[in-house]
Amino acid sequence: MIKIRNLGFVAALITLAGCVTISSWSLVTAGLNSIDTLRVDADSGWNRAPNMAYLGARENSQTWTKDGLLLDQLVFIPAVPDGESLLVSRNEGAALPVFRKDMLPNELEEMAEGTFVKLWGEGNAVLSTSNLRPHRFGEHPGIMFDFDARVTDSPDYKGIAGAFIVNETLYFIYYRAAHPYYFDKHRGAAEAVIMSASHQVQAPSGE
Amino acid sequence: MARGVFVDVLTGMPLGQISAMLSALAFSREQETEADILGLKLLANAGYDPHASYTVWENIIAEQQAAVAKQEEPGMFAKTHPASEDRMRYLKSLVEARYGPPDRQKVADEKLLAVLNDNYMMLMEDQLDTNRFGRTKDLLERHAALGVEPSLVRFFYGEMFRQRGYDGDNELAKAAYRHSIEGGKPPPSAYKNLGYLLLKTGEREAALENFATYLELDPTASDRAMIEFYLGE
Repeated sequence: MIKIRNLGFVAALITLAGCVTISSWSLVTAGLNSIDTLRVDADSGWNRAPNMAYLGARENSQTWTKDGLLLDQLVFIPAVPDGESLLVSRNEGAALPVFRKDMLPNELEEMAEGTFVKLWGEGNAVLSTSNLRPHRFGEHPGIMFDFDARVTDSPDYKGIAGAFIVNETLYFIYYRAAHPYYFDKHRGAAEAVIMSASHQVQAPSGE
Repeated sequence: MARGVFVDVLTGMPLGQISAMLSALAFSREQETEADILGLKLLANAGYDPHASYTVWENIIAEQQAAVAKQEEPGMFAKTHPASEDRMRYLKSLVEARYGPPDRQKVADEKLLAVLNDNYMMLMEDQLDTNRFGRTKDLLERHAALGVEPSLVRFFYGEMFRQRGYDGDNELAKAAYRHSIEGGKPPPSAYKNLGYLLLKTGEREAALENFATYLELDPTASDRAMIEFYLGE
């Protein structure tokens, strides 16, 4: 029974791997960009990854990179409703942390930390967060924090995250990159994009 | 170009790595048993207590049962290895036949407790990151019985209740943090997280007092700016 389940799991991954070929990469335009109802001001040189680049990505999320997804990622997860998680999984046993509309800064930080652990693989990564601090995203108060991860059979990673709540939905943005070198290489640009984030009332058509 | 970055949301591993790992996990039960027996011999020959070879499985079974009670999925290790009960049984019968029953009641070694206490915050923070509260509760019960510093164990009861968020958990968490503080050796975070909970339940003055105590105890806390934000409001 276990083998049958594993075969199904691998088949599903292969099927999904095929799906990505129908999507494509695109260059992010420097200046104001909209991701659902999230608005950010970007510098040049970011590349938007296909939506299916990562299993578990929410439908309206986007992932950008400068040097490639294995080395650096800037991830935008807009408008997560109360009771849902930052990632999607059909496995009910995944125990993904969920967002609650009344979460305080420490709880948002913990939810993100727990999510990153699942993203890298439970038991494969040791996560720690630090420097939780307030930041105003447009007219909305929010938080930022730093994180680092030691991951089995992988480079270490460092990252920066920002989060704010509007109309009981969560807006979450994070930058993570291999450390040493790549994290510092794009830190300034990524942090500026995160800090520029704000909520826009209506998503422009085409997004 | 994107192929190399496909990962599974649960394992976080690239496809190729997952396939290789699944193959590696497909050893037969006979091979696992052989490895267990060889491991037992090496353990005993090195001077360690051979009874530990099955007590570790007793602990894993207890954790799995706690997980099942909370409808948490067993880990991949449990899914791909011989049933834990089988391993526990045959190792126990082998050890008792060869070495006899345990000659003394297990008493926590002082050195072990000192190491555990020194690293307890890091170890349990990683456990909380799994978001599996049934197992965490089971571990806390065992740590309390083992003699881990009570203020630390009570603090993590508070963390477990607060993050679990069932009806009534906020009050249980508050009581656990206060219990940790009364124990005399709370981590500074006990004051901080009690403060956050009080803030949430509308007890602002008490919350700010706890925040202030937190910063007094940990003046270089990395989240100082966040706490000062609340103190300055």
